[in-house]
Amino acid sequence: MNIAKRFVTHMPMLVLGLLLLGSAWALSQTPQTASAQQTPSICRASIIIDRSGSVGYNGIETLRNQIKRLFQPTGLYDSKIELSFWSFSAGIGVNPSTGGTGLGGWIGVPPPTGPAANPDPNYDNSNFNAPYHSFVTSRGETTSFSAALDTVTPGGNTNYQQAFGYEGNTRNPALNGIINATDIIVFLTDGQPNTPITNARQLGREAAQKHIDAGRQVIGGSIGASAAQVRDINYTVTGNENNGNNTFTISTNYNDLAAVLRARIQAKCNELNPPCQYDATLPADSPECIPKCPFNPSIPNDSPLCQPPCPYNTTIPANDPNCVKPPYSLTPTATANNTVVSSSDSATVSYKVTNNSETISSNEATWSISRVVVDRGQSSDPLQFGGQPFRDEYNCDRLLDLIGDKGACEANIATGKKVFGPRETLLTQAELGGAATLVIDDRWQVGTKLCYVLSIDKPTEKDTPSSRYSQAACVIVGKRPSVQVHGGDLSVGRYYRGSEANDDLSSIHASTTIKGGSINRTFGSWAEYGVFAPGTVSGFGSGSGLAGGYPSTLADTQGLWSKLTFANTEGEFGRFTSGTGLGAIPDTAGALLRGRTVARELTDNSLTINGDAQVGLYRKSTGDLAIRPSTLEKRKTIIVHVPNGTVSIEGDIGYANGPYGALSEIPQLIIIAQNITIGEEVTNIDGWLIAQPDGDGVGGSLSTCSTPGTLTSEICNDPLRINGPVMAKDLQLRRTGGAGSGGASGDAAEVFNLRADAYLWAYGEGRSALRAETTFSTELPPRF
Amino acid sequence: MENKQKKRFWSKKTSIFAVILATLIIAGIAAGVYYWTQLRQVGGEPTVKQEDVDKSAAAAQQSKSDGALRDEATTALKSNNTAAAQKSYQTAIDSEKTVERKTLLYIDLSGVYYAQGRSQEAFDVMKQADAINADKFLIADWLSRLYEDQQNYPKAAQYYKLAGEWAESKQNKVALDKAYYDEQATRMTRLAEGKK
Repeated sequence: MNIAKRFVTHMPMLVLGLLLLGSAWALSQTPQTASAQQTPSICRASIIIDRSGSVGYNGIETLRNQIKRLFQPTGLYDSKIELSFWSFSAGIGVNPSTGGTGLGGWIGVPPPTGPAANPDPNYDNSNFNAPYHSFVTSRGETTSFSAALDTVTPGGNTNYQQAFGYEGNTRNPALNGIINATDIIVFLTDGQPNTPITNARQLGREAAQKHIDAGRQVIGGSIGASAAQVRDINYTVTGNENNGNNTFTISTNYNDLAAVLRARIQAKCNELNPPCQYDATLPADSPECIPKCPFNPSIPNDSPLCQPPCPYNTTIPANDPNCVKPPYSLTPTATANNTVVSSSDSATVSYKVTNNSETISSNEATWSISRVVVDRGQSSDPLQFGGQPFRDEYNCDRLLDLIGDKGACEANIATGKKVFGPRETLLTQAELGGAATLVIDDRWQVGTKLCYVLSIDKPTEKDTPSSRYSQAACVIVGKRPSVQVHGGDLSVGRYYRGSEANDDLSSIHASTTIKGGSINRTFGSWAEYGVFAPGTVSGFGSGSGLAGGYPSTLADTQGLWSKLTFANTEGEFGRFTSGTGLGAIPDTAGALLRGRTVARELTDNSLTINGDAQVGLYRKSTGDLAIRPSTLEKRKTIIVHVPNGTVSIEGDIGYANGPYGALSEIPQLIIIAQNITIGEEVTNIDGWLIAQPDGDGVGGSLSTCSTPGTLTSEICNDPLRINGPVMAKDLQLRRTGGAGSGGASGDAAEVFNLRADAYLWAYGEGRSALRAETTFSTELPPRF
Repeated sequence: MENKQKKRFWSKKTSIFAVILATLIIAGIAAGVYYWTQLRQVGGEPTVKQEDVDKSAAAAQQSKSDGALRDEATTALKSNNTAAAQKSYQTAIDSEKTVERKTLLYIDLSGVYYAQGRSQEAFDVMKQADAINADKFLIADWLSRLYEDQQNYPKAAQYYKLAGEWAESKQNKVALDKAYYDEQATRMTRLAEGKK
């Protein structure tokens, strides 16, 4: 009773005392917890280095240098990862209860202060875990750490228990400070445990488990990776010799040590201290690890201030009332690379949009392309808007109005949506499709204009104008007339004797037409035989090279169809001789006129040559002469000489059909005049045409179309054939005929045909009854 | 009778003593054998050689010396005194007898610059090392890692490749071979191309 009474009496004090003790205990625990949380993101790894004799000095040296690489760029080199190390081989005769010497080794600093009073951080031959060093940052080398590492020297056996800092159940007190702060233990060894003699592996396992029980991660590295050793390490770090989850391997020469340790330690540290997914510099459990505003990382994602910046003024947020799109204006432009294309030819049209802003992109805008087909005879100029680059609020109907409805308009042959950046934007081939290339075929009549217009809806930041149309890019369906020389050569650069020689390098330039599709040939002008020019020759075939067109399947090389273009310069066509090197035109007119008496002095301004026409020389000393349609019968040789005027041929001139029984029956017309012009309706002339300048060098022009002014496909579009020699100082090929479609693609506008009748007639004219007789002869000695 | 008893007593006592003595001798021999086997280090791994101890001590001394230089230069750089940092190292470099050691000190100086965020100086100082050392392994190895850390992957690949070509150098004390460097160069190339 007395005891019970005393108990009851002192009960409150007892409870109070217990509470005080509890509080004291709690207070003693709290700072540790707080301390542990102060640096939650630091990860500390301790490396256990095997310095047993089997490692050898070279191995140790490589190991040291490899570990030092962890402190250098591309190593760990991370201020959030700290490293320490200790080493082991096999210290023997240790007294675990005192930490003092056995027969051959001891723990740390000797008594009297005892094991717990250690440590001596410096190298100590007596400490089975020396050399060792406490934690240092891995970002850069620390002098004392490197120096301690350099004192690791190989020698002795392999004791796994001591590797983990234990002798029996006693932990090496020299390592207390290191071990208590360790998160990860990285155990490196090149051998199996051989000390103590018995049970060495199990003792190592038990020592490792003590660390695991204390919450430390333990991983083991096998140097050399023999199967038996790997099993031992597996067992030591996991308790199961077949569990390799925490075991890794290092090559025998340690050359991959830094790379493997880096990967392993980083992986374990990331497991222990996962980085914040929003900011890798923070741990995942940091209060600051929250989604950051993508537009301003200094504020949370859910902050009302988290707004994207105004795209037009980054100093204000997008929801600011002042964030409005600055003005811009889009100008559409269409451009054709060819203004005239011939049948089966093609042209490309490019389209661009110019944004007048240097910085602002447009809103997404719809663009489209319209094609206006302007009828032959109707000008497409109105579609150029009088020089204005564009017209707003237009459409197909209004475009047609501009050309008086003489045509057709097809809208949206290509269309799309696009944001147009600052300055110029070209629409791509992929966007344009067929609208980029215009292929002319026979459905388009020559003279038709195909016009392309680029339009943009809402070309400014405002809703109006609703559309903007570009000037039209027009391509005229045309052709390239050609000329052919049959039965003779084409020679330029010669001059009439008596006239001033021209030093200029007379050249020949013609154009070719390449047709694809089923035609697939190249057409152009050509001569049946040679082509001579002091200057260059281009686009003009010789040796009948372009007759009937040259297959486009072969190389498009002038050399293939200019086999008789004479040149004295390698690799060029023409350049046959110097500017005057081709010499004078033979004085054919003089030869023909010499010795002839005038049969008829012309006074009228026109002449028609019919069956009863008088043979001989017709002369008109002054003024011009028009020759009407005429036909020369057999035995009619007539020379029309107009030395001071122009002969206008106003109708076809032909020779009567044969047969002819003698050379003298061949009719021949020779027109010699200061200038010669050929009327539009003339399609055939049998005769010689010699346009010879007067004594002052004036004249010498021969024109195949007398109609003045600019040519179109409507003017002089009948082919002309001249059967006879042609000589002129200035030959004007003004016919627009030929160059048709399909099988007529190779037809010429003019054909100059030097037929055999001219040669035969000239031969007949040159014959004489007079003969030269030999009146004297002598023999001369040979000359070598 | 009394003597006989006395003799018998002494005879028995002698026997007991002999047994105890024999036991002690056997135990002593066993203990000796045990310690002998311990001392023999039955695992058979070589014991520490004095020459290795001497080499380690020398290496540690070198580390301390290099570390002191590094700490001095770091302090100077933190005070923005680049000239002082350079001068400290230059004096040490001039006093070194081998180009390998000179190069290692240049690399140390480069590392100090780099750690202080002075990347350009870190690269520049390596030009001085390049000028004195005909063996370019150490320089290529160091620059490859600097460029990788800078995420300049094309340059890093280039220098890893070079380091691999010179991996047979006697100045290579990390046992990294051509295959390793080529692998790093390939990794850098893939990073440069935006692949993982």
